[in-house]
Amino acid sequence: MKQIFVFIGCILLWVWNPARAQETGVEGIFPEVDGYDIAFDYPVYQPGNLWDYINGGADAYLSYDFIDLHIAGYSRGEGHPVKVELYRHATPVHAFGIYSQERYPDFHFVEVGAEGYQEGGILNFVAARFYVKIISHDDDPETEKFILELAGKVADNIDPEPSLPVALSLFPSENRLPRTETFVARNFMGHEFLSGVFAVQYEEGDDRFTLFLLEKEQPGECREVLEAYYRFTKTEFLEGEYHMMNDPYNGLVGLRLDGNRIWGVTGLDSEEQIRETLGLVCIAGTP
Amino acid sequence: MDRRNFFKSAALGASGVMLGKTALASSGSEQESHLVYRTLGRTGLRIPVVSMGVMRADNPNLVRAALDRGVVLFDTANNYQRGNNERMLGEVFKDYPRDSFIVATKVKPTGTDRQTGHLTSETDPEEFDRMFRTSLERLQMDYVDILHVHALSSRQAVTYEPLLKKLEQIKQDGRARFIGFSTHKNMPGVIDEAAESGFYDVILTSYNFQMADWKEMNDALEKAAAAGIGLIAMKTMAGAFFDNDRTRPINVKAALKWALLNPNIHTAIPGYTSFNELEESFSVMEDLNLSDDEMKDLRLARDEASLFCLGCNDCLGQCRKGLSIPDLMRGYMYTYGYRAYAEARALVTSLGLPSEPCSDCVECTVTCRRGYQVAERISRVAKWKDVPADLFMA
Repeated sequence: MKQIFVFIGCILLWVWNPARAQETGVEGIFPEVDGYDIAFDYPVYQPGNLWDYINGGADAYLSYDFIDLHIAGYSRGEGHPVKVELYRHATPVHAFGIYSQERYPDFHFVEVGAEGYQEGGILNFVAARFYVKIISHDDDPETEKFILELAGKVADNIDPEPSLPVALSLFPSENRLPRTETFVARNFMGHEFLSGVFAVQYEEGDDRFTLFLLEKEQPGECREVLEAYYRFTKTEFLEGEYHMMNDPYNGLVGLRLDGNRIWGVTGLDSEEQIRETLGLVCIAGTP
Repeated sequence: MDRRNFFKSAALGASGVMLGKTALASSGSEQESHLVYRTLGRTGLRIPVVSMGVMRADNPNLVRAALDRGVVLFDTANNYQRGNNERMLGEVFKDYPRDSFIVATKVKPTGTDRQTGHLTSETDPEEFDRMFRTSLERLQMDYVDILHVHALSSRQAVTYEPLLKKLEQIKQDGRARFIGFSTHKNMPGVIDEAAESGFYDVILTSYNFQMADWKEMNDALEKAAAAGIGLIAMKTMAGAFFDNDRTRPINVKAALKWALLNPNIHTAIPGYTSFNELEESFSVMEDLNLSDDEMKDLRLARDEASLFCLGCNDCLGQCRKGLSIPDLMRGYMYTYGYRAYAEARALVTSLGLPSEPCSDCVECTVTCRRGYQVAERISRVAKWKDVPADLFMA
């Protein structure tokens, strides 16, 4: 009986879903390229079998609400095909999150999608809900050039004007280390109560520290996060805007309550520095 | 305590603990310092039965906490977080004595045939070596304790000579103390082949309570252990829920205990990403025995409404209509296990089923090792092919 309800529910959803007409299939994202054959030799990977393709690496993708993976191979003559992998996630923020987990600031970044980099025969970028990987066994200049052109076309087909998550624009630019922005879906700094966190690294003099931002629907939810952190550190909750947590694992962590946002900083040694930094962040971050 | 002093103190504390109990040397009983130790086969490494799968962890302080707690073996791979996982471990471990921890990494050989799992002429041992050197650079180490070949799934791959020669050379160079492989498909045959070959020191394998009745798997583990191979369990949780309505999450502690109750399993690598999960995993060592409630939870998971196809492929060829039963069972798992309707529909549609696949069979010829009512499950999931595709595109 239950499955009947599921199907009835699905049909009803289909009938009233106003978005369905605008949706396009993923296949349309793979561009046709003169002189190249396109092959879809791989199955569509889903949460249940992503392990078959990337083994233990799959767990990280699943924690960023992975939906499916579509793969196409571009080949010309007898050379190795260039493989295009489209990892689709539930939201652009989740796609950026898994991308940011695999990106390293020292990579060679290129103007593709919202952000991307090219290393030898590999080009990875993020655009909208897609984390795209283009892979070749060849790293000669001609192949690299082709990969870059192909990436541009794929990116345009996904979203001609892609952008990074808006929340990242709230972080101040001064002393910000480029390409260190991340989104951590769960367990930021190893804490279950810190989920859905944007973080950016900064360097000022000898200090290297991380600013982070957690946004909730309601201010009350932010208070719950703070209370959980107090419980974790086994200290009594104190009302106020600023909160200094002596985290037994992460050292001194400063937090500032800002309506339905919590700003935080880790990596600074003194409360004075933390207050100063959080003050600046919040002022800069107020839209 | 400020952050820098905290890290310093943590590092010293951890190394003191490690060195004090001489964790890596062989010693007597299983129970030491509230941790349960076992010897990892012929490697002679004495390690707690709970290790750390670092794969999803991105917080160096979690690794430090695990070290402090007594974890000795840390498992990563060349491709986890596109190398960032190894980089993070390298940054942590550089502050610890090299003999106070065991690091295992994995490198996947190129040229694996997706259908057969065979290594092919496209498999390049030199490329494997190049990737391994990259791993060592990221880890900031001259050697790893265990180098796994990543994801072997056929007997042929286990004994693929060109790669074995390269692995032997790496071991002789001192860049890996021990050689192993990971496997999560066709495990019994692969493990059995390794036990026969005598080449491998360690195997990292999927192993969980869903396999309780899988004789071939448990026999293979026994044979491998008897051959002196160190056995490490992964994927011990077998999924998050075990009922159709997702009201009963799997008892994580019980699942981990179940794997460790097999004495042939020497350690497991739960992939914790939070301090709570670390503590929860470690707490199983207080008492490895399953309580009545825990046994009940696992029995329910196994017997009552289990959703997870073992992937044993015993059913292949049994259906007189030639249906791909493992794929259909996976479709069932997507539907009722993950509630991943788009995925279920895509999978079922891709199989090109007739409209009512089982309607003209009086009796189902398929016998599932797990006792699943295969025909009933097929009749449920076959309906997906009639549901419009764009329903799930949003």
